[in-house]
Formats: sequence, structure tokens, C-alpha cells
Amino acid sequence: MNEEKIILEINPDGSINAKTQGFKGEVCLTQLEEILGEQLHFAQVKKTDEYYQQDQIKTNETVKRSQK
Amino acid sequence: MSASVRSKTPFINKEYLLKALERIGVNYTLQGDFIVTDRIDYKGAQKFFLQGRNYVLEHDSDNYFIKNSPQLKTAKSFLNALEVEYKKEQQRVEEEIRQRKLEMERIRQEELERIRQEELRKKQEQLQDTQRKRMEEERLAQTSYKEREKKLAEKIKQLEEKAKQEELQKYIESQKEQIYKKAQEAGYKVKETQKGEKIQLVLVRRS
Repeated sequence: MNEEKIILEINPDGSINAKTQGFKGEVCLTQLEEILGEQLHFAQVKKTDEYYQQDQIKTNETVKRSQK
Repeated sequence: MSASVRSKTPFINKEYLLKALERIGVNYTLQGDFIVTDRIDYKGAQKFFLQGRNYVLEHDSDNYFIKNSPQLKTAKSFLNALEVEYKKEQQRVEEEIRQRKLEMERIRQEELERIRQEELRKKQEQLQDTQRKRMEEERLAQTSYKEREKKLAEKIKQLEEKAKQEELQKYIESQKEQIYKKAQEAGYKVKETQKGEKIQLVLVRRS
């Protein structure tokens, strides 16, 4: 069974850092959009090597959400 | 025959009288209250004696035998000449006294002026001192006002900061609630932990 994990850190200024683990390809980004809402704007996205490995189990995403 | 003649000007001052005798060239000797001259007449040496407060000349009325001071042969001419010199001496001394008084008055005025200037200077110093104190008080009041103004500005800033923080906190709470809701709808379990100033939410789902 595959475990999908999203780690969110809400900073004191309201911005959010997010990391994903266990997602395949771009699913991680859509999941983040689903969780954080349509208003989400990525300030910075670092795609790990795993992101490009479509068949790999793990995809690690780091996003930073800017404060509104 | 003898007689006493009173001069026009009373010879009150002995010093003036002696000085006048010297000026008209009549020698004298002092014998008690008498001023004995070297003018010799029928009765002998003519002399001044004190009558009350005045010196009076005692002499013989006959001028024939007069010796010494031949230019002032008669007692009248002698006394006239003596009176002129007596008055001159009197005027000289009076003038000297007047000058001394003037000098003393000048010194007194100078002293008064010096005192006046000194008082003026002290008053000015007091005034300056008062002004200095007033300016210092104003400066302190101004400083105090500025400090109060600064504290008030800081207070306002703190309140604004607090309001901003509260608003931010509300925003973060609303975001967190939204994440919880969306995560649960998507089948995630959420675990929340506080990491320093940050809130960490770990969303886990098994598929």
C-alpha cells in the first residue's frame, strides 16, 4: 500500500511551505492545489529528481505560498 | 591819645589774618592771644587782640611815629590793605574748599555711578540667569513633550502591530481550518504540531 504524505508548514507571516512525498508525477501539485485551494499561488517550486520519474513512487515537491 | 578801630571785615580767622600780615610784609610774633606786629607807634608795637570772636587792632591814633611798613603809615591804610589780603586768603581757602567739595562730589558721583552700574550688571545677570532657567525649563518641557510624543508613537505602533498580528493570526487559523476541511474531504489524516513559530501539518493518506 502506497503512503502519500503532504507536509505543510505555516509560517508566522502566513506563508506556507509544502513538501510532498509518495506522489507520482504532477499529482503532487494537483493535490496541493486541492488542499490549499484555488487561490494558491506558487512563489517557488523546486522539483526533485523524483518528480521527473513518472513511474517512481516518490515525488518530492517543495512549494512556498505567498501571503495574500 | 589812643583809640581802637574796628575793621570793616571782622578778622575772625586767625590763620587768614596771619597770612594777610605776611602778604603785606608786616612781621609779627604770637604772645598768648595777642598777635604783636612790628609796626611801632607812639604807644609801642601795634597788636591784635581777641575781642569776642574777632581780632581787633590796638594802636595809637597818631601816625607820626610809625615805624616799619612805611607804605601803610596810617592804621586805616594798614587795615584796608590787611582786609584785602584777608579776603583774598578767605576766598582762596573757600575756593579750595569749594574745589575739594566739587572733587568729593565728583568722587561721590563716580561711586554712585559705579554702584548703579554694579546693580545694573547684577540685575542683568539675574535677568540672564532667569532667562537661562526659563529656556532650560522650556527645553526640558520640549524634551518631555518629545519623549511623550515618541512614547505615544511607539504605543500606536505597538497597537497597530498587535492588530496586524491578530489579523494575521485569524488569517492563519482560517487557512488551517480550510486545509483541515479539504484534507479530510480528500481522505487525509492530519497531524498538527507546533515547531517554533511555525505550525506543521502532516497530511497522510494510504492508497
